[in-house]
Amino acid sequence: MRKVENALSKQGHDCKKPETVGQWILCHFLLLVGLGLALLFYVLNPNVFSSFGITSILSTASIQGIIALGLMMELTTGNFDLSIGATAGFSAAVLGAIMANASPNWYIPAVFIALAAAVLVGLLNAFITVRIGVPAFVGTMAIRSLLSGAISFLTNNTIFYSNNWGETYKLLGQGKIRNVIPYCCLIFLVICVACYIFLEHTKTGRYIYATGANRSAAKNVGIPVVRMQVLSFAIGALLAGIGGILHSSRNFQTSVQMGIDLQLPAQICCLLGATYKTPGKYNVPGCVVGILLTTIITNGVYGTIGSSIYIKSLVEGLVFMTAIGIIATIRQEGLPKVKFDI
Amino acid sequence: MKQAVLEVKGLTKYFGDVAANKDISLSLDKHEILAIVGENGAGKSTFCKMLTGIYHPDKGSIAVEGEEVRFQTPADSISRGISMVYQERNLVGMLTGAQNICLGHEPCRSGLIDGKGLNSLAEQIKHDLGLSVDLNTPVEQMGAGEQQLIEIMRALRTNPKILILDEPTASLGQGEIEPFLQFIQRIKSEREIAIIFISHKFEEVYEIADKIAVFTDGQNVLFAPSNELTQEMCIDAMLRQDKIKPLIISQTPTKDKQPLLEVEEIHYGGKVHNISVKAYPGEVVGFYGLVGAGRTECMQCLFGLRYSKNIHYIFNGKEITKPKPRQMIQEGMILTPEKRMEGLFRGLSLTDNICNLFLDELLSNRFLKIIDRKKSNAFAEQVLSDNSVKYRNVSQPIISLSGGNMQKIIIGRSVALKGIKLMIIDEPTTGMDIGAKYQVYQKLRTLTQEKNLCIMMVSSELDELFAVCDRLYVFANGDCVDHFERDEFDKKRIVETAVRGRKL
Repeated sequence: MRKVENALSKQGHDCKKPETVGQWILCHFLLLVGLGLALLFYVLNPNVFSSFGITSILSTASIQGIIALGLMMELTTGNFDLSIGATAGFSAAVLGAIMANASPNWYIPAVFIALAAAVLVGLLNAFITVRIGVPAFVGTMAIRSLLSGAISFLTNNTIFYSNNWGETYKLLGQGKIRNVIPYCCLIFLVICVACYIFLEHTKTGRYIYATGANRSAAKNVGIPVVRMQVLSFAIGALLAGIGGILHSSRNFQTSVQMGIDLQLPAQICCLLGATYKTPGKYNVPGCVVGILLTTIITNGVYGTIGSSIYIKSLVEGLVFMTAIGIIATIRQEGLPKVKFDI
Repeated sequence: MKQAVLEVKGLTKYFGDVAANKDISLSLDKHEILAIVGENGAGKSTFCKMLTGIYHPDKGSIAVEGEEVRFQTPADSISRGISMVYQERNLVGMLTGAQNICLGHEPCRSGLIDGKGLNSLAEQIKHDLGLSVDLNTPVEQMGAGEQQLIEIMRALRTNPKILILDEPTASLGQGEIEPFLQFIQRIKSEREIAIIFISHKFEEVYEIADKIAVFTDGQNVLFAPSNELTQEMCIDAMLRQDKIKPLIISQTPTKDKQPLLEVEEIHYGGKVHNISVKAYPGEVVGFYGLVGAGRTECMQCLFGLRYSKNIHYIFNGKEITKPKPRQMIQEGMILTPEKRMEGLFRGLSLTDNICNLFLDELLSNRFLKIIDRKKSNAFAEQVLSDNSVKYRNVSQPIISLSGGNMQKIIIGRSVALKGIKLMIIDEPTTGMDIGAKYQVYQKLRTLTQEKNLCIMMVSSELDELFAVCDRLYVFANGDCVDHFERDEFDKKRIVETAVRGRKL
C-alpha cells in the first residue's frame, strides 16, 4: 500500500551499519585499543612478543576465553553468574583429586566426571534461579561460597598438586601441535566457532537470545524460557569446567585461589565484548577481542614495566571504564545500553 | 446458517469479590470488525485475556467456529486461531523485522536457521498484506508505526481466524492513523478473518467497525451493528449510574483576584502542550480525561518530576522556571503520585513513612542530626488521628494497612507540611471502597474551606469530580481542551469533550 509506505517514516538511528569513520571507530573501539596497546608494548620491549611470549599470551587468553564464553551464555539469557570462576576451579579440583589417587589411564573418565560435576553446579544454579526464583546475581553468589568450601576440601586448603598426576595431566594445558600451536588455543577456537554458530544460526540459540532480550515477548510466542535458561546454565558451567581443567593442566595445580582469579577476567571480557560491533548485545567476536585485549594488557604490562600488579589492574580498569563509558555516553544518540539483568 | 467465528455467552470473571467481567455475550463473523469501547477499567483487557488463554473464565463459554473451547495457556489459543497484538510492544529489539515475524517458528535446514528461508517467508507475508516495511533493520530502530506493523505481521503469520488489536492507534502519530485503519479494513475484506478492535476513540470506531460493544463496569451494556448505534447512544452507555451523591458544597469560593497557579503551556516529550490552567486558593479544581490524556505528565512537569524544556509558570506570585520537588515543597506545592506505592516507603513503618518529610523538625540534636524517636512517634500519632486512620501501633509496617488508610496517610502528611498552599493529587481513591472514598472527599473539602488550600485533583471518575470539585478542566491528547464551572457540569458533554478530544 503506497499510502502506508509513505505515511510511516523511519525514526530509528542507523548504528548497526556504521556509516561514518567515526561510527566505525566506535563500533570497533575495542579492537583498535587492543592493537594500539600491543604496538605500544612492542615498542617498549620488542621481546614481549617473542614466540614464547605469544604462545604464552594466547594460551592464557584461550583458557580465560572459554570461561568467558560460558559466562556469556548465561548473560545472554539475562542471568549474571558470579560463580563461574568457582565452577571452573571446582571442576579442576575434582579432576585433581581423582588423578591424585588413580593411575594416569583414568584420565579420560576422570575428565568426564569433572565436567559432569561442573554441569551439576550449573543445574543447581538453574534450579535456584529459575525454579525457586532467587535472582541469579544473589543465588550464584551463594553457590560461589559453597564451591569455595568444596574446593578447599578437595585441595586440603593448599595449592594442591600431586606427583601421581604424571605427564597426561600436563598434556592439554601445556602441549602444542608441532610445538607451535597450543592445544588450548585449538580447543578455544573450536568452542568459539561452535558458540557462534549456535547462537547466531540455530533455533535454540535464537531462543536463548530472545529469552534474555525480552522475556515477555519470548513467552508470548511460545518460547520455553525456563528450558532456555536451564540450558544456558548447563552450557555455561560445562565451558567453565573445560576452562578450569585446562587452567589446572597448564599451571599443574589446583587451589581455591584459582577459582577466584578466573572470575573477574570472564566478567570484564563479557561486558567489554558487549560494546564491540553490536553494542548492547553479548556476542562471540566481542568476547574474543575482549579477552585478547585483557591478556595483551596483562602480559604487556608484566613484560615492560615489570610485575607491578597495581599497574595491570589500573590499565584494566581504565580500558574497562573507557569502553563502557563511551558506549554509555553515545547511548543518548541511539546505541542501546548494556543490560545487566540482576 | 452461517456459523459465527466467535461466539461468547455469559462470560464472567471474578477477582476476589469484584466482577471484572460479568455476563459478557457477543458474537462475531468472518470479514467483520468488532470494536470494543469503554472507559478505563471497564473490563476490556480482562475479556481479551480470557480469549487468549491468560485468564480462565469462572462462568460462561467461548466457542470458536461453533466448537466450545477451554484454553489453558496462551499457546492453546494461538493454536486454535486467536492472535492478539498488545498495546505494549512485544518485540526483541536487536532482531530484524523478518526475524521478529518468524520468532518462535523459524524455518530450519539441517539443524541451523534457514536465514534465506526466513527472509523470504517474511517477505511473502509482507507481500500478501501489501505493505512495504523494511524487514532487514533491527526493530528498535523503527518508528512506533512500523513496529506495530511488524507485530501485526507476526500475529497474522499463523493465519488466525480471530485477530485482537488492543488500542492499536495509541502509539501512532497523526499521519499514521488513517493509512493504518485502511490497512485493517483491507485485511478484513481480503482474508478469512474476524477482527476485534479495542479503542476509546470514537472517530476510528465509527470509521471501520461493523459491530460495536460498549463495556461499562465489567458488563457488556450495548452490543449492536454500528449502523444501528449513534455516538450519543454509545456515550450514554459508557456513563455509569449515578452512584456517588455529590457533597454539599456550602459556599462558592470567593475567587481572589490573583490566581495561585497560572500556567499556559508545557513542553515535554518533544511537543508543546497547551494547558492554560489557573487555580485559586480555597477551591478544588478537577482534571478529567481519558487514559493517556496527559494529566499526570502535566502535573509531574509542574512539580519538577519530569523534565520539561523551558517550562515557566507562575506560582504564588513567583515565576518558576526550573522546578525541583524539594524546592517546590518549600514554595508551598506538593504532589501525591498516581501510583500509591510510589508515594510510600514499602518496607518501613508508619512513623517512618510520615516523618520522612519532617526530619528537619524532629531532630533531637541539631549538630549530629540525630532523630528524636519520641518526637517522631508523637508526631506520627497526631497525623494519624487527625486523619482518622485505623492502626494498632505506629511502628507497624505501612503495607499492613488498607489502601484507603494508606491514601489517608499520604494526604495527611502532605497537608501537615508547613506552608502548603497547593496540593496536587493524582487519582486519590483508586481501589478504595465507597466509605473510604467519602472520607477522602470530605477531607479535601475541609482542607479548602478551613485552610484555604487549593487542591488540584486528577481523576478518571467523573462522578468523583462532580462530588468534590468547584471547577473542571478536560484534557485530551496532552492538551487542556475545555473548562467547566460547577453550574455547567454536564456528564454527557464532558465525556464527549474528552472522547472527541476537542471543545464541542
